[in-house]
Amino acid sequence: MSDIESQIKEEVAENKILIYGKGTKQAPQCGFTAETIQFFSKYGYPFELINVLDNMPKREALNKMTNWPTLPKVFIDGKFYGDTDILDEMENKGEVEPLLKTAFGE
Amino acid sequence: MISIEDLVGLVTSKISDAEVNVMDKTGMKDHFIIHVTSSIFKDMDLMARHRAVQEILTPAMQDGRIHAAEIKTATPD
Repeated sequence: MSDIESQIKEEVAENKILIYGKGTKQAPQCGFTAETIQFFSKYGYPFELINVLDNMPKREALNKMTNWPTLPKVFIDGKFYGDTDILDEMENKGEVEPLLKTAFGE
Repeated sequence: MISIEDLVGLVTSKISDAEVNVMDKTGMKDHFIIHVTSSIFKDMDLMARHRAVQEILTPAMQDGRIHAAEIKTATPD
């Protein structure tokens, strides 16, 4: 496994809510990344945004690991959940709140 | 840029019973919201549904005809 993949695995393990996206929390560089930040800000749990905008090798590793071609990519409690397209549909079915509660051990 | 007819055709060519609703988010024919309703989604979980639609769109995403696509999936109830 390449060091990029092990770095990703570490980051995923260290952050209960982790977003790989374009830009930073203060300056998202893409509408979908901004939407994902707003999505999680609503819930009030801490989340991490890792900027991979200019890191093509890491983006390719992420694409391969998740079989998901686009950014942002969201991991919750170590599991991959795609992006807000998925999370919005999960939210409509009331699946996000319990997921975050278990992730943060409530 | 891709026309809405071509985009709908791209999806229905792969999911024959798909009902496809497309909204052009910016009027520039490259940022879309795409709702796909099909019975094939019945036994597919959310992730699998979105992967299936993404796979269909990949050629048009890679050559730049589509810049961004927001995907929603549903089954005909």
